[in-house]
Amino acid sequence: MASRPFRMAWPFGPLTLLVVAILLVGCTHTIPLKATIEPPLDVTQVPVAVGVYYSPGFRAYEHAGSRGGDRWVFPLGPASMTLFDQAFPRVFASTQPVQSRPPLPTGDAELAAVIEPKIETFDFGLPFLKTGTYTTEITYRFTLYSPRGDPIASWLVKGVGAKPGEGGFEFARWPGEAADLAMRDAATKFLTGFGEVPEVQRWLRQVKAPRVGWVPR
Amino acid sequence: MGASVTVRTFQEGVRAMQRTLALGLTVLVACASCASYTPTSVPIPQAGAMPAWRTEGAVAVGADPYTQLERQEAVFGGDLNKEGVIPIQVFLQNQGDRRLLVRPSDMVLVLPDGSQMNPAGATATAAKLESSGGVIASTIAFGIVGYLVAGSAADKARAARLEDYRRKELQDTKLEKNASIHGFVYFIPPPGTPAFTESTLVVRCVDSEELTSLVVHLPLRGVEFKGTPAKAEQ
Repeated sequence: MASRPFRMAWPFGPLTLLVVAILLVGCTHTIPLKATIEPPLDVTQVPVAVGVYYSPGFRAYEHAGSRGGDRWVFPLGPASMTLFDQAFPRVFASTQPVQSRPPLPTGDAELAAVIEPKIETFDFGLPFLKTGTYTTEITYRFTLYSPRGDPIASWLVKGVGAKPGEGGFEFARWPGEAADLAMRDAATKFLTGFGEVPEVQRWLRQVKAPRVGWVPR
Repeated sequence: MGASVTVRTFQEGVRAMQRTLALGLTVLVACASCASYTPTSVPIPQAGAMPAWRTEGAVAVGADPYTQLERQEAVFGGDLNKEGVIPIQVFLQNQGDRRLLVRPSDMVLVLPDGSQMNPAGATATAAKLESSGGVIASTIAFGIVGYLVAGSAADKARAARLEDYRRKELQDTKLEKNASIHGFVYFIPPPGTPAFTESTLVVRCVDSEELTSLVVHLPLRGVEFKGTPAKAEQ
């Protein structure tokens, strides 16, 4: 009796292979960020005009990280600009965008200082189940310059955010909301802690501005 | 006779299913308990008894690098050395009359080559110890049920770990006269950092009335950081 050559049966069809390949490749999620400050804080304003400088690197800053085989992209720069465009006018009597770090051109001489935010670190954590808690942490560095370009103060502010997710197919929503909470937390800490930074206090004495502080509602 | 054989076969089948189910549940419970995290307390440091200790003017500062595996497992529930994290317990005491402002963000770890790093956050530190191995194994073994059970357990463990690390982290504080504070600062050297055993922790406090800085340099020995490979990954 002639023996037939053994052939192992291939159990997967081309469609199955395609689905597996798609799953293995993973997706890129661009995270939507709202960047709002809520609720409004009553902060005593410093009666000075301050320039705001957003560097090109800050404006375009994106944090991309891989988790669970997917790529998660947080456009933090544009969102942070939106956030601080709301925050800075609450601390300073007037703000004015400037196009470069000091020293300032003569036309901007009425500005008392220039403030520049920078994203120092960002990190995020994703749960295995969508109903778990999404966590984020962001650290900003703020640098306050004199109009001549001398650094007056440089300090770090950290914000943390945690948001429980829900079922469904909105994969980018919950990490985005957690990042929004972290940015909002950092902005609140900036507003409430600005007048507590010792170098800022010294500068406020020099410009004869009243000490700023947060008035709880 | 034929009927009794059928009944016996059925009973054996049920028993086999029960055994399989019990084994599966045991493995699932084991997987879930492997992923658990139990918060622990930290021994309160004794003033003057820490490995590095110095008094500068009105402030006394101590530092204790938690680089021994046993201490890391007892306090952080894992091997932070393997993940490239250096946890340092810091103790500060205000020995002057005026209030001092203490901020972890004002602390810097200076390496022998002169490079400096700021502390990392608890989120980044806790993320270093996250592992998906148990969830993947459970998923392979038990399918979607295994994924749900192990994933839920892993998420709970992750949240508990993060909360515990944040609770142990040194916080921004205004130190009144004779008051003290202690907590951990976590350093994560960036990719490409060479191995080192000695470093210096620079601690800066601010006299909140005079607005002057008090800077203390604490030489740290025995950190034994093994170095990190250079790679450009976020």
